[in-house]
Amino acid sequence: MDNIQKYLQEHKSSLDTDIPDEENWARLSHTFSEMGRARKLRGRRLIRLGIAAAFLLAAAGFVLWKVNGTGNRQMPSPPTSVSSSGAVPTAPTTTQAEVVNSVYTPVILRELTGLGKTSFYGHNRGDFKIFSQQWKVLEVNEKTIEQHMRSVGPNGRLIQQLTDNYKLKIRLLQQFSVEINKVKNYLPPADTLVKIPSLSLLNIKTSDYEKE
Amino acid sequence: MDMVLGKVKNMPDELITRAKAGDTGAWRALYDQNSPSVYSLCVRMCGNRHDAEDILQESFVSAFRKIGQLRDETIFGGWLRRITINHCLSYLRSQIVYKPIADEPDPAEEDVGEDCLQSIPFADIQQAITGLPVKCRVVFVLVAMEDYSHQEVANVLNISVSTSKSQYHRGKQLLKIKLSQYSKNG
Repeated sequence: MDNIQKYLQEHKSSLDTDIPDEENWARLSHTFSEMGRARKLRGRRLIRLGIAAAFLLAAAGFVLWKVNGTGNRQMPSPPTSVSSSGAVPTAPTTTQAEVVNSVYTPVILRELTGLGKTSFYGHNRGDFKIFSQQWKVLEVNEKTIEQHMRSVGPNGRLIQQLTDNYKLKIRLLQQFSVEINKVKNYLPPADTLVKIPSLSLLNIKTSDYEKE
Repeated sequence: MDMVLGKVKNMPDELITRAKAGDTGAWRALYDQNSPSVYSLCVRMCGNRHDAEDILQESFVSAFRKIGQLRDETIFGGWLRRITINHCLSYLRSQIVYKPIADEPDPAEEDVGEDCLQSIPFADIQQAITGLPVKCRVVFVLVAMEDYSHQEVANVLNISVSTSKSQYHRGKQLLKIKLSQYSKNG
């Protein structure tokens, strides 16, 4: 280290002879205040984003809870076990009635849709009337049970009745479907059928109709 | 480089802590304490007051923006000086193009006597350094006053070590001439 370098190192602080103008601090403090304002704005924006995210999470959580809650609901216990023991479900709620409804209604609708697409024939109009009458009785029963549920609240007996009513409806529709298929597949014995002459023996002329 | 950090005066920890918390008063105090040395460094590096003021601004803004990253409060001065040097270098890099020059043997020099140096006011020495040509001034300031090694200078300026050495010697020669003129005139 030569003399100059040594001298400069030793007196470095004394060589700091330049002093910035006061105006520099004014400019600097202005920059700082802008930085602070920007930081505050950024903070507010973050808070807003946080609130929005929390709200969205809460909403998503609620939806998931609703969806999973419905999915986790248990199927109604088999009616045989309930009816055989005679025990009513403990603490029945509206939810249980909804579950019964949600389990059986799609099955009934499916049966009805299937029947709606099926063409069937009867020997006379009253052939299938019995099914229609029974269906109407079951509909009346269902409405009565629902009215009772609304008035006194759902209880184990009413839920059981509703379940049984739904099951009867399904059985009735299935039976109806079986009967329709029976008619469709029915082929009368050959000897009971009318003897139809061959087409050449009939000798029908269209001009005969035209004259009439 | 680490020596630079060790030499600076320690800052009160409380002031740094307050500055980290965004206390404008603490920032003002830190500015008052450090701005003369930082500004003088900027003037020495840039060679003019106008650019030095801009770099002073940028350096303090950078420092206060990054003050949260400062772990050891006692090295604030050295840390600020490093930031300032980086700002000066990025400003100067666009202006200086060092041409590679062949290795030159160290010329035999006559040292300026300490008595001669003591007779020159510090402001004149500062002015003499500021008046050096930019290429050799930057290298000279970094090596002679900021304790950079020639290897470090070569790295930060993207030049060879031999170029750094030759620029340093050139700067020293020119400074000696200027200082001897000052002592003769003085």
